[in-house]
Amino acid sequence: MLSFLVSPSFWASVLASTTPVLLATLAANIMTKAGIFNLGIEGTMLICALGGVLASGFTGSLFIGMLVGVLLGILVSFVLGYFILVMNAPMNSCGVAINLAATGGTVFILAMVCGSKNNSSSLVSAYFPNVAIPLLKDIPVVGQILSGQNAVTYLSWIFVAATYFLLYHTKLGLNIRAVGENEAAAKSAGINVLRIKFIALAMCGLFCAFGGMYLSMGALHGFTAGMVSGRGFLSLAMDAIAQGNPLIGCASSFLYGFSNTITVYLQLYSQLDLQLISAFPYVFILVVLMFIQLGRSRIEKKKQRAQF
Amino acid sequence: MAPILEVRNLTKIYEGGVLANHEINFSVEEGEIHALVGENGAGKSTLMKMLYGMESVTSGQIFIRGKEVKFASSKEAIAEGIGMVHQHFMLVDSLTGAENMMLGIKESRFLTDKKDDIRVTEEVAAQYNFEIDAARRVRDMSVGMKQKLEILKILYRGAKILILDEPTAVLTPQETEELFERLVSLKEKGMTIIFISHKLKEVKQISDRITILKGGRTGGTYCTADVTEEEISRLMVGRVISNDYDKKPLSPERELLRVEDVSYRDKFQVTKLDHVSFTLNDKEIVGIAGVDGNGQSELISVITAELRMGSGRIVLKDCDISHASIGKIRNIGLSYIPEDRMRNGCAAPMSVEENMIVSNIDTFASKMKIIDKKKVREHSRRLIKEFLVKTPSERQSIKSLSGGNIQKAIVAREFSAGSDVLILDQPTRGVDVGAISFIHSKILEMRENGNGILLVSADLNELLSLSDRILVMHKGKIVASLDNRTERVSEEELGLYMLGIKTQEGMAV
Repeated sequence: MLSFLVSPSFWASVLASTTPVLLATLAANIMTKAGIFNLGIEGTMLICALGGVLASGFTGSLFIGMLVGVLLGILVSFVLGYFILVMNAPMNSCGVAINLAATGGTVFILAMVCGSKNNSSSLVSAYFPNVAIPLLKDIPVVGQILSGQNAVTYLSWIFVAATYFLLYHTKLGLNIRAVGENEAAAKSAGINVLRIKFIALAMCGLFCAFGGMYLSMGALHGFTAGMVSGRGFLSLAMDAIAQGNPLIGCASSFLYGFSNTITVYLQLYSQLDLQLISAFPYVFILVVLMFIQLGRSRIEKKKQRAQF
Repeated sequence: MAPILEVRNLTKIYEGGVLANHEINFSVEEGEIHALVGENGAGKSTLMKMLYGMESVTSGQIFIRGKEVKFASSKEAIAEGIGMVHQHFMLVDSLTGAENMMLGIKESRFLTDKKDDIRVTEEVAAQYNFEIDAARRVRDMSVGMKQKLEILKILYRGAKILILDEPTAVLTPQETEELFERLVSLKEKGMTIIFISHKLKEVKQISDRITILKGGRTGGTYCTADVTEEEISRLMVGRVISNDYDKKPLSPERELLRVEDVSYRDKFQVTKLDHVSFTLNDKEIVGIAGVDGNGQSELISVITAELRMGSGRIVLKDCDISHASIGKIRNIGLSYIPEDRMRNGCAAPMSVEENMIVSNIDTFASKMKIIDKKKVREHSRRLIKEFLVKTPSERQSIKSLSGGNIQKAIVAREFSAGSDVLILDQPTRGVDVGAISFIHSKILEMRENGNGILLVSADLNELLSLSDRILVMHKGKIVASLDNRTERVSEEELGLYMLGIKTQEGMAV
């Protein structure tokens, strides 16, 4: 029954369904490192998903669609930044406000432009192509898994590496970490705290944009209302595991991708109850979290025991 | 030549209308160590924050080398060669020493170069003869090393005028000595140092000149050599602080706390308490002396159940509390003033009145566990009055008060809880002279009321003037029990025991 676990196409779909959560988690990572709790990732992704579809649909250009999506992502993040950093509004309620505005706003605009409250099927939009990687695609199994993914998936891997490098090997990354951990210290060292936070917000917006556009211009070719469906919130959980570290964030997103895909396959290949199966990813993540926590507390206990 | 720093008629009024500084005038010559002394709340910190660009100036002028400056941010102050070591270090804990050193320095490099950062940091450290481990993360550093890193950080940023805000408050006596040596050598290198403190002994030891602040106004600048500690103290508070208290002879009637054969080993298996035994009676103050780190804080933590002892027994008013919870111990009758008032002594963002009832909140709650606000208000107003806590209202958040007033509020809470045993860990550390004598008088009052008081202090003068008996700790053992009732123990004798040179007979196990 679980023979699909060794099929390359299973693992290829794992990578595909990891992508949006990975990008969202990356956005949450950079926010955590900069000392911001961004609840609005979900909404930002949704806005970008629609923005990209509409812009590319009207211009017929993928590039312009992407550009509009990214700019929207950065703009929405900056709006959040303006409220919480400049106007000193509470972070959480501003994040919630963005989510609510996005949920209602996208449906409103969708209905105005496409005449449907559910999807953008009346509009033909551009989408990110799948990319076959030369040489790699000819290797058996590995090629089938790694090659032929969506362009955004590859981009997300580059983003992970780049973000990790940025955070731990550049001056800007050092500044971001310093600002996030001890703002007063960073300020007294002469760092422009506001500037650093807005740079981090811009990066967050960029990642959210690609995460959203992957859903509407990659995985699906069109916008559906509420299509982010909790991935932005899930990213906050992934980030809580990673505590800002992009590599661990990447690993925990992969975990989500794996459990999500296994659900789809179980629905096809097993006689188990459908409801039970759809609970699988969450139970699976809970179990994994439990083990991580057990491991952590065991280390803690060891330390404690050493006291006596 | 114009002085390197001059302040003329500097006034600061906070938004709430609090007048923190009123027409301050003082000047600092190049290459001197200039002490700025004053009681808590005298406006020292505000003045320094204005000099460092952290607070705006309401009116008045600041001159550097005769040129008027106006700082909008610390960055501009740094550019003029002013550097400040804050009381609470401005370091990022998860970064290494070298990374903290390089933080915010404008360079064209985009990438970090850890090796080069460490090399530069070590070079700068060597240049000023500071020993620091540049590759170590700040969170793993000792307080002394953190402070050295802070000083190096501002020197590396080109500071010529160093402002040190109560630098010795967090240091052990040994670290203080080392700091002073470094400061003197910095002075010889041509640095100007502004040293904020209210430890008169230190001020007298290290500074060339002293400016006194009192109630937000300048009380004059003096050459250190020309004034005695008593005179400085009188100028600061307007009266002579005498440590000779009028202590009534009292005879204890019953035993309150008995510590039997208590041992404790820390997580590195180092023995911190080694078969410690003593008793505390009513109507007496037992002082615990010792060089920092000889088991005093562990002893307190074991008694207050913050740490679990390895072996032994503790009896409080005939109840065995060896394994009791903190709450139970407090209920039986023990109050505790912790050493670190901001971390363990109070809830910083909460109000004065809330802080005054936290440890005996049950007495203000009805059967339904609903707090009687009126009762709380009456109680806190009475305490504020009785303990002279300077606060605009009982609803003010406690962190906005000065250190001395926060401590007075904590003392008020613990002393009013009605416990028989009071454990005081450094009750006057970092507190101004006026508040010290007030707290001391309250401690003596509690003694006369029949309480048993265990007092741990690094201030020998405090121990000698208050205690009935003094226990000396060295390497986790009590090496001497000295009677201080009729005749004062001499500081020299105490020192011999503290350093482990002498051990009282029958004390060594």
